[in-house]
Amino acid sequence: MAHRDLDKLFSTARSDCPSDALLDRYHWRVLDDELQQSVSAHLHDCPMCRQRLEFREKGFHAFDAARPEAMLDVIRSGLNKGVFSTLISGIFKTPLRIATTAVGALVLLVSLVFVLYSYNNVPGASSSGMRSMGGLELRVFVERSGRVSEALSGDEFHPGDRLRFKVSLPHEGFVLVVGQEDSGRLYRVFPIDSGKGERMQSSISLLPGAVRLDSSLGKEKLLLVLCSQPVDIHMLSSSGHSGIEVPSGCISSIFELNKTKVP
Amino acid sequence: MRDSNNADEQLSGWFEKYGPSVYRRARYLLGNDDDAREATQEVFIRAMKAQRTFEARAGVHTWLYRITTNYCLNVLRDRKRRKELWEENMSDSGQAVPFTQNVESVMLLRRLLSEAEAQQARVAVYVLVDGMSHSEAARYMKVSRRTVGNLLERFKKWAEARILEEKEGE
Repeated sequence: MAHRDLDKLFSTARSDCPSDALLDRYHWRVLDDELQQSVSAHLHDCPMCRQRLEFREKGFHAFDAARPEAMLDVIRSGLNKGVFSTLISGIFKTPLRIATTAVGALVLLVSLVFVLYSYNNVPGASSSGMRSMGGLELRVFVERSGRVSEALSGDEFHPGDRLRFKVSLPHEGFVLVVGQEDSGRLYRVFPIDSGKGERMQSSISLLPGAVRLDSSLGKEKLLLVLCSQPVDIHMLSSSGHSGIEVPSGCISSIFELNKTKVP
Repeated sequence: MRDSNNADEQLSGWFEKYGPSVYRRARYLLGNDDDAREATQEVFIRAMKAQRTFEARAGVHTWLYRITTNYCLNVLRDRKRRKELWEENMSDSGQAVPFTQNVESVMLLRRLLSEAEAQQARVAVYVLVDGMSHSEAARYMKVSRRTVGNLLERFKKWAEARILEEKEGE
């Protein structure tokens, strides 16, 4: 295959047609006058590019499956952390606010120390296999019929539902999300291409990728595991219907799915 | 709360104006609506989070184009790792595949982009897919026109050899 064949193979338009980017900018009317007129003249003579422009003019309506409202919901949800940061930065605008914040932070710190002290003195409490009080959290967002909403543990889910996950991590470590079928079998959810945990910073993050629920019905569990050492799905053991054992030094958070038929 | 309201207005404005372009581009490069939605969401989350560092001179659309290209190329590489590229379902709506192309050539394009060196893959998207001139691509990639030419030449040589290698293996 010669070079010119590659050009022909990949190009989405004739060589004298405006590029996608140029046509986009023409559509948004951000080109200078001369270029805007030159593209107009080309469009006059080129039915293919007129079709390309008409496609742009339809916006999201050109794509049946785009679901822009659902996408915006997910984007807003992914930006929650940013909004929180903005509010925090706004508080620090004046010295008076700084002083007020310092007093508030001190009160919060004392309360936190008290809560942690109380928690650590609960008989039998250990980090292994228990939900962390320090903020480890698995939030689940479900996309169903084009609408995205946050689900709660124990909610009903249906085959075909598409799930995305947001995790709140109290400290840096290796993150793994696994699912447990009703039979007790474990399967990996995140990272999607490996059974090994991915190293992540302490943060609230929307995990990349999504999973679609299969046709099996019944109760399933999702387990978010955070470990200070590298963790692998094989290091977790399923204890039948009662739960999942995680290695020592790991903390976990469980989310329950109740999979039922599509009504 | 005014800051967050402003941010939301800005998001809505950008999404309405540039969202379809990001979606269209992602759908073409990735080949299906699920991945295109995913890509559009991720691109806007990244863009809104990084807007303070964004170079106003370049223009929002240039900036979004860049993020979309890089994101989609990463997804293609990940897919390659998961050996899913050949198994993906092609859209039959005809809109994901531009006018002059057929399904086989788009599949070949995605596979080559998933294997190519990162800079060469970017230049291939801008020049061969988007149809940009070398000067236009140079502006988007923030490199010289000469570099665009060199990268493109290398990509083409590599792609030819890769296609030939595959034909011989059949």
